[in-house]
Amino acid sequence: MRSSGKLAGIALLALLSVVVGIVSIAIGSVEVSPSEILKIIFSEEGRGLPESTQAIIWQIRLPRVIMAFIAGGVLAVAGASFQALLRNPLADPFILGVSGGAAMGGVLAIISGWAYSGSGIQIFAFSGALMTILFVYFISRVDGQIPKYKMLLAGVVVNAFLSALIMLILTMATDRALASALFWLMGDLSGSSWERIVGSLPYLIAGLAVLYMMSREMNLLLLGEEQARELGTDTERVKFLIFIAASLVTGVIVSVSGLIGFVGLIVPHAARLIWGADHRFLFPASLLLGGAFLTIADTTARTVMAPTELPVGVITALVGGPVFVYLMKKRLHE
Amino acid sequence: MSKLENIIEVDNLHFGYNGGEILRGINLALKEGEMVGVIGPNGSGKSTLLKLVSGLFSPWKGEVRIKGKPVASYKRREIARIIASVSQDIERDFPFTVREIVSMGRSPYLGRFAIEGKGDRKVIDGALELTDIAHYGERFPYQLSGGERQRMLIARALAQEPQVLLMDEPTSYLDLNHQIEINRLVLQLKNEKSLGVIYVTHDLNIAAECCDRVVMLKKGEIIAEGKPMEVISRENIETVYGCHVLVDENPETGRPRVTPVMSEGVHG
Repeated sequence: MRSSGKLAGIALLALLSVVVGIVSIAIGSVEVSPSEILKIIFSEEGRGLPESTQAIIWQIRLPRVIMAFIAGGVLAVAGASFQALLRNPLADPFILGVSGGAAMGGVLAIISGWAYSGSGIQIFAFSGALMTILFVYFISRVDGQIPKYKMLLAGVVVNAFLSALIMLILTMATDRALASALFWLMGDLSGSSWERIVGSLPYLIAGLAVLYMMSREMNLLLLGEEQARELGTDTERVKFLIFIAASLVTGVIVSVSGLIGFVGLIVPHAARLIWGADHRFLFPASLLLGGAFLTIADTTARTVMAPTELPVGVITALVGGPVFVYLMKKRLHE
Repeated sequence: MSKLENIIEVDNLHFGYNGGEILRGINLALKEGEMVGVIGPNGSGKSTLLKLVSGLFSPWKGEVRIKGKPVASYKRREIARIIASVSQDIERDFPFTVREIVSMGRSPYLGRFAIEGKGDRKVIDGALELTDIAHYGERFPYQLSGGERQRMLIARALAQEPQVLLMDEPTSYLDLNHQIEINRLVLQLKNEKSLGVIYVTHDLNIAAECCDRVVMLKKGEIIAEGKPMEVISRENIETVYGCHVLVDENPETGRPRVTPVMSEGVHG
């Protein structure tokens, strides 16, 4: 596909994302039509609608849909980055241990009761993620370099160790805390608020900007580090920046939404099938596709068995798996 | 220095891995428009030498100079504008088109956010034409033959607008006609663009035919160096490779010609 075609595809995807967003806001226990939503968001006329409807849209659904979109998009971009960094198609945002650290922090917050005061769970999860990132970085570093196999092994071991610790903590937890922790571990966007969005955006924007700046270098990294260096890339610097930026944004997302699996693994592959492997296009495409996908998944999670909410991670895997298999098959037949 | 300046100078180079020393006291110089062959048995340090020349590895002792300055004083981008490497092959499933891969040769010239401009596209088109793969621009590597993939890698190297090509057995996976085709292309580039070429090969006859000078390595040391006629001799080959060969003169080019001699009795 030519660049112009790829850009047109991305524009179309952006448009589609807006539609997905509006429809998702409309769906729920209180039915609100798309035109009413637009009125509430964009015009004075919305003031005419019931206070409660306005509140549901402004305070509950809009932030939730936006948070879902951001989380899905960022996880997809982080996944694409880790796949390039490790040159491994099985890499996802959680592969280097960020998830284990964040989960540990989150579970500690829930079990100890700090989760119920302000943003306790975010602070704990993010601290856990940050500590793990630094730990994995320092144990995989040899002579100022971070070889990808060292990184992978360090991440896997740290993840396994932390999972065991989490299991140990959970077995000693009360039933209520256990249920709450398990739900959070499978991905939970029910706590989305403007406050969380605004609080996480600066980190996310900074991280994504760094990753996008590295997009051409990531193409070169796919050639292997030796060829990337021969083509003028300072590979160790590039790898360090990708590692830090992708881990940071993942840590932020996990701290506000728990562990939502699958998006970061599958969306980059799906985007690659359509937009190709050039990261300059793959990033915006993954961001939009991941965002739209998680928005749909989260809307399904909160409505399909209403009033019971399902963990969104369950939906992403149940829906995303078959969709991806279909895409892959279709593409192979072409 | 002579009137043609050396682009590359290797000065008393020592290098090794954890296992021990691989290169011991190598001296080598390369001028513009000169093709130097590096031959020697497996493990003699040929490929390692190339990686030191392009600065991928740092020497234990001695140094490599590019245009008179030590390699270590250059940034990766700066080296990539002077030296381009052509490897044996590229992953068949590499998910970029031929044109995209060749375009990667422009990266040492592009700024952080810059995409290829008009000038870059001209260089890329030129490289595709010169290597005769312009009509394959939108194909993927797996859709090409081994020879075409090799030409693609040469095109990518040319897109770097280098002054030096480092080639590591560029034809070892190719059949005879593709070997000839690639070597012709390299000679043409050397002459037309005055490229300096360091050519690592196992094929003594190709080294004899194509190279202006030949360096013969054994266990990390230079055993012989000079014109093909001086280096590629029966005595040297027997010393370095430990096998029997027949060396005579190619009647068409006057270059040495090597024929391996099987041990006695093979043909009954």
